[in-house]
Amino acid sequence: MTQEHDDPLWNTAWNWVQREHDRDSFDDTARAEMTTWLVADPSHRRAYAKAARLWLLAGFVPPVNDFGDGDESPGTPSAAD
Amino acid sequence: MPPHLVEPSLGEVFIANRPQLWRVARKIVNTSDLADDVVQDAYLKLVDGSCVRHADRPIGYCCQVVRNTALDYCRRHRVEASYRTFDIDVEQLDMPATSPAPDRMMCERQAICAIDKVLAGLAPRTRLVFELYRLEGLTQREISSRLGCALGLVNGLIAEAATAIKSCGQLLLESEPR
Repeated sequence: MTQEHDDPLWNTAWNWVQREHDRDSFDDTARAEMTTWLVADPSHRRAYAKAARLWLLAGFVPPVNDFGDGDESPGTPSAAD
Repeated sequence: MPPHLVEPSLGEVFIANRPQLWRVARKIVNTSDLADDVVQDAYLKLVDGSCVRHADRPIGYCCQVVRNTALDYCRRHRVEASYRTFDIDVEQLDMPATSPAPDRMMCERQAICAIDKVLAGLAPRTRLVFELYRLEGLTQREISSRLGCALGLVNGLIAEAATAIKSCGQLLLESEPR
């Protein structure tokens, strides 16, 4: 259950999820490349689904910084030391 | 409903602000039906205790859960659309089920706890950058100009946070058995 750190499949899946989140750089070429990888094998899709779920869950952790709600004022980094 | 939620219920806050939350979802997904699904999905996540600790701003937190749920719907939709451009029948693919089984809920709760813990171990600046990127949806470039620091630094801090989160993956179940 802990060999995941070195699991190349998990690493690849995680990297795809990270690249996909990066709107600045994830272009059509990158998406096509990711799709090629996804369709290649069911294990790829499973690993990707899991990585995407983990990244989604990371989005459910309450923030420690207060960004205000929907307004653009910068959040004040609460711990500045 | 889990007794460990000490606050008078995020679920109540959610219901009281449902129209606003629906609009948050609707701005992200394409149709009203999808917005309904997102709101329902997000509500279940909240009442099932996916929130592991006190959220300082309950309504802000509800928005966060709705927004991220909606964005994830879009992500899945794009992936499925890209299969179609490859002439692959999505139905033929073993897409993992999206509705959470009890075991899976438990794992997800544990994973959120674990993520919360690893994030707490990050330097404040790393945490801030992560939250702007993952929770607020800013791009790396936007973060770099907002904080007045180099793009390379932002990129490095995000990578650091992502690596910490990645280690929590072992808590999640391997995808659905077919």
